[in-house]
Amino acid sequence: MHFHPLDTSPPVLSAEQLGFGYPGGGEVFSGLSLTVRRGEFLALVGPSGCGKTTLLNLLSGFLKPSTGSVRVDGVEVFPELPALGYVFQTPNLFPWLTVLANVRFGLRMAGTMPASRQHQRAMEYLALVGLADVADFLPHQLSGGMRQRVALARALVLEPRILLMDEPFAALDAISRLSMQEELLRIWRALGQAIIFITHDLDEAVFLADRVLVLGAAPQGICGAFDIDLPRPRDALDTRRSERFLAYRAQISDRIAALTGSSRAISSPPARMFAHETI
Amino acid sequence: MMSSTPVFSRALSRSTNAGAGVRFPRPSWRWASLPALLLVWIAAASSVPAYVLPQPWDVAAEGWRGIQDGSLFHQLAASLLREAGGFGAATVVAFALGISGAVSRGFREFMAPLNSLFMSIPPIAWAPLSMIFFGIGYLSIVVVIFVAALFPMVLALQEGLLTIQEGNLRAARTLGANRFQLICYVYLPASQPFIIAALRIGFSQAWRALVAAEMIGASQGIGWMVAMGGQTGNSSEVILGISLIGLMAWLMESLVFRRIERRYEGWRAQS
Repeated sequence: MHFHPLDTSPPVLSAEQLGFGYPGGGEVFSGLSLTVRRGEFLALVGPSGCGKTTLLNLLSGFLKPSTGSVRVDGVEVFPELPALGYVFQTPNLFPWLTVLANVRFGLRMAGTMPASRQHQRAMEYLALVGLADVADFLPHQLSGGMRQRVALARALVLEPRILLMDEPFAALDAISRLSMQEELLRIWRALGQAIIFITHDLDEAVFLADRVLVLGAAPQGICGAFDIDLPRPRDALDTRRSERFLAYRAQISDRIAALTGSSRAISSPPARMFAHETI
Repeated sequence: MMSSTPVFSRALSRSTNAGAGVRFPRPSWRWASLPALLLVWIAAASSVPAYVLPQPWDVAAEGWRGIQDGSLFHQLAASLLREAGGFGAATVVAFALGISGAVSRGFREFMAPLNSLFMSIPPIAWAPLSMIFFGIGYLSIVVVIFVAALFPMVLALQEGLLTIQEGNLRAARTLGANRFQLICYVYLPASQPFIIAALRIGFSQAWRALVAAEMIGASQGIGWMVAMGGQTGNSSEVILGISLIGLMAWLMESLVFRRIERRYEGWRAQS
């Protein structure tokens, strides 16, 4: 799972010269380009309001770029939604379906497999995320972390080449978040699809990714790319204590601080939060 | 009625599986209201002549006569057939219009004035026009019922479908659902509780309009029976008819709608 900078295989996703602006608002992006290598774990970090989710919506074909194009395996994604997996910040499970039926949903929509095969495949993926024993539960009977794992299985069951994850663990408590991160790496190692992971948590980005892209406030676009050369498999605690991890974290944090004009790291409160005290 | 038993037992086992918690019986005075009404009736009937207000047992005897000569079933069947026709047709059209309104903003805006216009006209006001158009008979009454049930149902369905979580729609789209599949597998199941509420509203509106229309222009049916009883001074027949009207609506409510509703309480518990 390690990528050499001279890797020459064609990228699984490439965005070229993307421009986008909401009607009535300013530009969110202009001339943004990025590529995702096959099987790569790419993290996007940036301050809130930098257009992370907008970028993901462009990459997934939910929004049409005003300039440029996004290609997955050479095929343009807009207006056809490509076969990308998507995991949102909220699990968005269908509350009227059992856990198993939720995971099976995409296979049912595609309708290319007989029902028994769909069932079997959904069970396999449910087992992969460690939830085979709650297959018949309804979503509201699960904890937040379990729901997010179901959402992950539901996206993975279609075996997408790229998985887009939009702050998937942001709503979880700190302990579930750590175990979900390890869990995600384990699943990614087993399946090997590319992942684009959006987060505002630097620590999470460095821990998970092969490469971290820093997005500046709109319309700056990508303001830094960092290859994270940490050995895998990574451990939730040991990796985080390693000097290289801390060095990467500091580098990226400095870059973001330079962008936002703050001398503090991103994880500490931005200076403007206290502005009201001086007024 | 027999066929609804499995549905009922499934509903029960579902709600207990879902861990909704044990329900302890709470002392209730529900049981007392009907006997109290009956006592007031008997007291009132004792102080006026029987041709003004008959005793409950006189009405029961009238009902028994109707059952024996089959006339009661005949009237009931005539009314239920009209209800089925009008309510059935209204349901089909209401689904088409309600779904269109929910998925298309333009259509919703177009329909809004029509909805409020038709909702503000008491359905029975259409009865004379309907009878001029279609003559006295099955069709003219069905049309009145149809108009009565349609618009409240369209509105209830549309609003119910609009409550769907945006996240569920997005998730379904990323999982490859097309427009038709979104409606069948997301919109409709997500709004089941609202659909049941819409059907319930439609049924009761239709039932009210049916009785009223039958009193104006029909030669059979429960509404006609009540109207005839009034004209011939047979107050037992009038009260029998009224009781049947109430009984049918109550049966429909408790045997059909409540049971369907109970089936879906499980996943609703989360919100």
